[in-house]
Amino acid sequence: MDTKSEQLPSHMEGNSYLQGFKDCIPTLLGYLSIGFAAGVVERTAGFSLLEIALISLLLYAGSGQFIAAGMLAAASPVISIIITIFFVNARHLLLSAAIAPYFKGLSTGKSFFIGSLLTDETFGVAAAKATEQKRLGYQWMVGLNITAYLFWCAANVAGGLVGEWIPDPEQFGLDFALPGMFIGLLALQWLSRKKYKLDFMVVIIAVIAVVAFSTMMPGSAAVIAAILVAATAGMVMERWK
Amino acid sequence: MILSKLRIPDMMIRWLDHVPIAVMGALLAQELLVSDGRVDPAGHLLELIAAVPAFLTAFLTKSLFATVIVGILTLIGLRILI
Repeated sequence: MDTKSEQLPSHMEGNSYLQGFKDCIPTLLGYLSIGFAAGVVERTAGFSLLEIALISLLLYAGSGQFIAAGMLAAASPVISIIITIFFVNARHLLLSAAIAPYFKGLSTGKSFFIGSLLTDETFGVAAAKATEQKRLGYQWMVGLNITAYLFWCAANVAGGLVGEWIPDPEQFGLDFALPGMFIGLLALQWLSRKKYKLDFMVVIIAVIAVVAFSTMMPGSAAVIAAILVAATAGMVMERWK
Repeated sequence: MILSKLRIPDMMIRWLDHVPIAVMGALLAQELLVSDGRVDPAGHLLELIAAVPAFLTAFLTKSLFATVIVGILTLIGLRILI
């Protein structure tokens, strides 16, 4: 990230796969820790190493993979898993739309390739770069995306390997990896959004809704219903203020 | 890609803004309060206790990894003690 100013004079120089790789490095520790945890959770949910590699490459979504592992372990129907993950990752619509103007003129295939591998982190790096230049390079973005993508898969498999050596996950408290990750994601979002009161209310409503709906429908449907209710309540409360 | 050519309705954006928080709240509540379709906080007592230091760690360190580790270690400790 510190090399940004050096490459500014020439846009062409900054647009290389190698520069994309370099700009990705500061984010790799995050991928390592979350990917590793995801691998352990997936392994304890009964995934094979091949399945772990495949889910990290095909789904490629931290929270999405935790949710998939948790819901598969709870024997949720596939359609519920798909709907839940769709909602969780719907923000990618917004992320892609936000950086699209910096890649105007690319072919549909190239746009698709960039957009489908975009993550919160690579979006963050790209958005930071976009504050200093009018356009972002295709090669640079691909270098950034691919570095994150491969590192993510490697971290997942590493977590899966370690998870494999652990015979009784519960004894080691590893069944807490999933709720622990949700706690972390929730707290980090809550802190960074700075809508403390409103977000707190949304969480409380989501909790009450899950508990209420769980008595009348399957768990996965209860989660989806609770998300719809809580997000709608958040929108309405925000309007009233 | 497609959305760059369309306009997303303003209301949709404001709704989506609350989705991630709602999702995490709902999933966490299900993990810690519900088991086998029953509301069962007592069955998750140790996990609920472990959630407290995990939350504190998240707020203090802002690290996902530290949060998970502290939660797991607390749970191991509780299982040894109880």
